[in-house]
Amino acid sequence: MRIVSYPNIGEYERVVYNFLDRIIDKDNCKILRPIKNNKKILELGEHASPDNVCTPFKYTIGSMINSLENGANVIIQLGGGCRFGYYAQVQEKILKDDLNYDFTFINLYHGNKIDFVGALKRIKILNPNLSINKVLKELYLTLELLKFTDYITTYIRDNSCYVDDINEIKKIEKEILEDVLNISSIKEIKAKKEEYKAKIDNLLTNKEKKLKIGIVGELYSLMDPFSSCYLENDLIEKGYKIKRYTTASYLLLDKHKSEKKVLKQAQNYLRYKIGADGTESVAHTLELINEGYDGVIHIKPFGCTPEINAMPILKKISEDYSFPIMFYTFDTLNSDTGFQTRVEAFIDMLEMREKK
Amino acid sequence: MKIGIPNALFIREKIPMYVSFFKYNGIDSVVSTNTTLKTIEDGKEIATSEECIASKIFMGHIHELVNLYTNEYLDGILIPRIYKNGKNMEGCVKSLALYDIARATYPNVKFIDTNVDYSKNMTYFKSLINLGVTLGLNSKNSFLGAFYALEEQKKFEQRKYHEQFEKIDFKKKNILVIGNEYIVQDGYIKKLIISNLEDENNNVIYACINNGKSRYKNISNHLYFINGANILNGIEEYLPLTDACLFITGFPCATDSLINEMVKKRIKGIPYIELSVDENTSNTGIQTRIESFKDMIEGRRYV
Repeated sequence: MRIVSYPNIGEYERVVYNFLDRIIDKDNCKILRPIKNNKKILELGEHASPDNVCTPFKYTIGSMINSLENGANVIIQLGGGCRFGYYAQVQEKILKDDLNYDFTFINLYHGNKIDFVGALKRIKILNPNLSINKVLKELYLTLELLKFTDYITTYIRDNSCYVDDINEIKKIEKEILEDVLNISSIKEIKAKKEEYKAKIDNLLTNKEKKLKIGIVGELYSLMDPFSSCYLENDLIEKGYKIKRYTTASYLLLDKHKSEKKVLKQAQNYLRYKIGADGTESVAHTLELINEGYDGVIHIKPFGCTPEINAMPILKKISEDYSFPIMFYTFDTLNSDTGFQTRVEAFIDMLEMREKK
Repeated sequence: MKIGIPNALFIREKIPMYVSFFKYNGIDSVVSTNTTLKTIEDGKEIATSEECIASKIFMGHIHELVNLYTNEYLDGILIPRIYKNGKNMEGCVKSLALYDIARATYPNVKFIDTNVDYSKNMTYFKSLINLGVTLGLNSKNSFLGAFYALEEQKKFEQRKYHEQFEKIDFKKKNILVIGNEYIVQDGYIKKLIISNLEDENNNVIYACINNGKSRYKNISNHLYFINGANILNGIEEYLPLTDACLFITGFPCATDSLINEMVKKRIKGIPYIELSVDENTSNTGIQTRIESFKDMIEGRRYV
């Protein structure tokens, strides 16, 4: 019996689950859903990782160890730009050589791009009868599902501040996330999209002017609530309007299309791409300033080079536009209280500026 | 015309090329002096606190050149950007942003840039010609200058490699120093670590100076950071000749953080230590560790 698992980021494990559930051979294969990131996972990851590596490496390897301990014997990992491209190979070595786990590691990545043919070959161990047509069909549905999830959660995030009772919208969000596990056709996605949008629109009754805060930075700490000490949630609960651009569908589907546009937006400050999402951080900050936002919070895990590259430039922007930007770095030793104090002080400052 | 070249980070390796390109076209070039404690102190103040030691050193060198610029001794400062070198090989993420960071830090200084990006067919040769165009040089001269510069760079690299190869001495213990060129060959770090290591019994060889053959496949299937691949090539080349290995990494180096894990698993059976250097590294602490490392190498004779 094969038990397949994968590392988690935010709520996206539900989309992956939906995809795997449709392609695996159910008689010989089971899916072990990874649990949400928590202190235990971080601790497991910290012990297994090299010292100076960035925090997402620690979260993902911690999540893998947790799944392996719970019986998984196949692990799937992706790769990407910057250090993410090395994650899979180093994690495989650590888990197999140092920690002596016996399992199959599926790395969907080769060189610096997704190696589709190789990935298909390797993923066949989950279902020997898998055909290319089936995978492409299911992949198309999964991408649509990903777009749907991002669309609706972004809609909720952007509009939560206009709701009187925050719990109601949270209930809807929970329903959506449950649905993501079971959706199986494009028609269903379309119907759900309309349904939920109408439901959310009904709740938007509060038309007061709110303080507007943008969040930019590194993708993992943006998309995974635990690794950013639930920053977004906090701000939403306090009733501020927040905006973030980075979502999984943006990174996978739209990023390469908008490369030139992003660089053009930031042309006064950047002549070249500065790696990973650094260019976006700069361009999106400029966009937020133009849209009349009150402040920006820039977050990243410790040692994230692309975002460190963006910092001196963001500081220059902050000076030029006299626009408040707060920088925060997350590490394995996070203190919620310390972070909250800083966020509160920052927001107090924004409110005072508003009153002036 | 006088142009400053910072003697730090990835630009270090290519200095002979740029200097000879300028020389051919009758431009004076000023290379910043070797790193000293003052360079690091300056860099520390200017750079973002989280940047790696190498970028802090880089900012220190830029500071030195900017001082010359404001005294009207220089007409510009060259900061090349090395993005892609060869197929699927990428420079460290830091090198992508050096020009933009310098421009944001010193808005009133004239920085000259040139981009190396093999994926857009912008080779070193073409980037030198482009540099000539931005400086307003005669196109024929910049074309010939680029040829001359690349030839000089090649000669320089070969000379360095031969010098190192001749230095290998089997009567002594050969210690392989692993690390990025701009860390292990940097004036300050060399003085801090290598001078303690090298003596009548121990001989130092650098993994970063190798014959450039791609051998890293033994250690890893695919790598795309140029500097990481270069180190691993060196290790594969020199490992049969060495008695001990020393990995020097600048804190917190992004590429090294995963490369050193691969290296650790490759090197077996010989003494191996990792030293992490940052701007607060104490001389005594390093000395103690190097001494005990040397004792350990020496002690193995009697085992």
